[in-house]
Amino acid sequence: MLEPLLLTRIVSTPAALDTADIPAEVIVLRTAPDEALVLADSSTISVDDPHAIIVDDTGWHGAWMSWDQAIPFLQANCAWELPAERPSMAQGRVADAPAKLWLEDDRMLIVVPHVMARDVADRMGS
Amino acid sequence: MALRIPCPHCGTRAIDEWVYGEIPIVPDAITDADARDVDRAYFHNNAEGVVREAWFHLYGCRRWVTVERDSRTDTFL
Amino acid sequence: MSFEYEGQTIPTSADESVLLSLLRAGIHPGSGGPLCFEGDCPNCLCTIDDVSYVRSCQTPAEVAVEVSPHGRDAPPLPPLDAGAPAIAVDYRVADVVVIGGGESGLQACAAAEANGRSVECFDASTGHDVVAIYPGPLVLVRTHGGMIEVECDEIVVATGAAEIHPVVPGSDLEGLWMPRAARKAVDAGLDLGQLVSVGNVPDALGATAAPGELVRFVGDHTVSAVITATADGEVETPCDNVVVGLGLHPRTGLARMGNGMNVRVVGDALLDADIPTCPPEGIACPCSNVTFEQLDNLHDRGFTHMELLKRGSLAGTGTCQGSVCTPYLRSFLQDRGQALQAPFTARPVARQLTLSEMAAGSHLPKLARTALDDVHRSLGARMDRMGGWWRPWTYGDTEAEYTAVRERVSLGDVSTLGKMIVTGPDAEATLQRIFPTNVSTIKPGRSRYVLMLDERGYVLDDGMIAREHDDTFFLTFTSGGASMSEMWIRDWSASWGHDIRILNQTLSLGAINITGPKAAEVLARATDDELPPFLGHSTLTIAGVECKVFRLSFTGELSFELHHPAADSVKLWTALMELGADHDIRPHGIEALFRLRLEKGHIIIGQDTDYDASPRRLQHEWAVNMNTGDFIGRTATERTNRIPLDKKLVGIETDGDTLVDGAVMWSGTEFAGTVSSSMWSPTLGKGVALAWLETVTGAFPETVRIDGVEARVVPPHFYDPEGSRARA
Repeated sequence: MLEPLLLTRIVSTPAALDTADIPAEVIVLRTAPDEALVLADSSTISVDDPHAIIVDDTGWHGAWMSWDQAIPFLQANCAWELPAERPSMAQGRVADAPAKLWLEDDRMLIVVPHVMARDVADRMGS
Repeated sequence: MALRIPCPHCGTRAIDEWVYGEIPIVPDAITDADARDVDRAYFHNNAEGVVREAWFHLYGCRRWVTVERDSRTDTFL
Repeated sequence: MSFEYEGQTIPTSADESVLLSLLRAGIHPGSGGPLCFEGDCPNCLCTIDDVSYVRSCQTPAEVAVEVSPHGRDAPPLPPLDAGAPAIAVDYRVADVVVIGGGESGLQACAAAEANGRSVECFDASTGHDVVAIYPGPLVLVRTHGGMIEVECDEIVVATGAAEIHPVVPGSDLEGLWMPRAARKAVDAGLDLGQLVSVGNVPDALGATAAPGELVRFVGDHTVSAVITATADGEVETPCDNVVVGLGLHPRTGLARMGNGMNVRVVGDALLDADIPTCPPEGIACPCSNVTFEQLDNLHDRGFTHMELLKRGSLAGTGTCQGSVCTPYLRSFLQDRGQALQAPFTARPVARQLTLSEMAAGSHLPKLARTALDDVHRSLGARMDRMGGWWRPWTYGDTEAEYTAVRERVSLGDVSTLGKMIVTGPDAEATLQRIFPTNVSTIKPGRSRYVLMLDERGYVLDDGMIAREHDDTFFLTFTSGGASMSEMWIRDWSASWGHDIRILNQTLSLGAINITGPKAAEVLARATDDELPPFLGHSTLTIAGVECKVFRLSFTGELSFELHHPAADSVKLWTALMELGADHDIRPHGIEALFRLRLEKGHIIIGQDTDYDASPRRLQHEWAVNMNTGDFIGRTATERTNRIPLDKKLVGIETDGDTLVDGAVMWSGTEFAGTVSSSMWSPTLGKGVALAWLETVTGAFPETVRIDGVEARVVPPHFYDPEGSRARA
């Protein structure tokens, strides 16, 4: 169920990330004030920070889940509460992995480091 | 155990997502520079009451956050 | 509906407990003693579906398949079933958790909900056993379908009060009832025959009251009479069943467990406890089988406090966690002249849990797998857990793996190495202060081995620092040190206010080490680019994969570390294995790697270092430049350099024997240190080891005895000490 993702990892000043030039339809996982995981390849992205790190990153696997799938999975594997806002990003321990979640009205994207993808997939029952 | 630590970036999370980092405090009474170095490097605070400490959110943003904890109740303020 | 009991089929009906079904069939399942029907005592315990110590009064008959008694003498051992099914955890969050679904509990629920607060309510009689309260607060609940964990802000304890059980002689007979249980039994249609009551029992039960105070029960297995004391002496009242009313003791165990947390007690759990008469003899604690005679013995020896009596006798440590004995321990101490004492401290867990339930929600620690995990397994590797990763310990022939590196060419998966980009205007300044080396002299395209010290001057980690551009560095750390090193650098650079960007790429990049005398030859077949010189690095395309190539050496042979996108690991590995086939290339596991590096005298952080390993003790002062500016650990290093060296990491050689890791070294009869890493060196034909040597009467010995073997202390560089092979 978890598939390899091609993401772009950005580290820059928080202000430059706030105003980064990223296509509007692209999902941006803001993992820290100065860091983001972007669901697009790095050629489409620029930020106003001469010292920014912008690199392609193949180190993540992810899966879209309907809420019918996601709710029982999270109930058994996530000890913290999701934010209510949609769409929004959340991150924390899920199935023992440092997971990034992208929450939409009718579905959820879970992104985990590839080194834990198989074990997370086992917990997803796939 | 479920100490719950507020992360300004990710929200409140249980302690097992975190790594502790002490913020050393050298008592003002120690004035000699060498003695202050020794105190900072070798002695732990473990004060009773509200203490400032750093926690690294290993399972979330992977950043240090500074929080205040009441060491008598293990609640974060 | 039915369940099996000792070969009998016991019919059941819905909404009935296992205990009630058994009683209908004329069976008392426990080892005798009064029944309470409320989970307060150990008297109805059964083994239900392979789980022992289950309260049959709180187990719905419809979930039971096979029930068996515990027997009167020996408690059952739990079944050793390694295949027990995993128990799920349902994680919940609520504003308020109410424990107890009685009148006061339901009132608390309604009040909280009226204030707009979310509420979770658990009642043991409906199969929701609250077994623990932890700081947080976190409430742990056992159910027949798994565990529930609720994080909450407030806990309301509405657990009510338990009826005080009799503990006089004969209290282990069958046919004894607590008033509430007798009520339920009668309501359920059980025939209690000639029912006699003692103490304060509601008239509505229609029992014949025995006069006076309870003395003892008599009978053979089942009660046949109760003896009471009156002003005119003892009276014997014949009976079929006895109902005993001795007062109430509030159930405060969970409230005491939540001491210091936001816990509110309501309803009967707030009652003042009745203190029963302390009988002259009897079993005060039926779970641990503690008699009043034993308590007297302890009291005479000074065990005059509740906590001491508990520890001295184990009273209160069994199934019911003091529910039966606490009133009597308090009564006992008061009777022996002590002030009335509070119940002892309550700690998790309040109920027996199976190992599966204890482990619910826990799993084998999640270990990271490199992108080559499947490749290793398909090659027959024995995988081992190291530093949070699955790593190939050996592919089955460690000698051959070792030989491939020393004589030909080999691949090693080093994807687990910590990897980090540090860039920005202050990058050099940050690293200059983090590491005890002169970072400004590392030119673009060059790299250097570095130690990372703490403020005490002890080694935290080691790794490589490579300069890519003026203000961009790529760092590697040990596999186990990657996260710690990231935390360390983030913490310090922030405290210095430095303008840098940090990216931890540990999990994003794979890394393959190609090592051995033929490494450059094989690599040259995979690229048109020029390979970097020793301690140089460059970005090259290898077999179609863009790699950061670092030339360095941990094995002692010519080596190139190829860092690449994790998604390309298998492609790169496969290509190199094919290109090296004519040199009989083969991968090496960690066991071979540890031997190769030990021959070279390369340390492993954590294996050859302890918490107090300074560069001087490690004989790594060459990696510390005291002529540069300030760095973390500098002050401590200057300070400790002024005192005599007390221990150091040395090489040890033996002629015929392999030493054991951790073995003790002796100089005469004096302790002289311990061995940290050891092996038999096939190349050198002798046993070699790294060891922590300590001074003996002020000087370092030159020979030591280890497990009866004579060994020489030598410099810790056994193989190719000039490093000519790595530089070739």
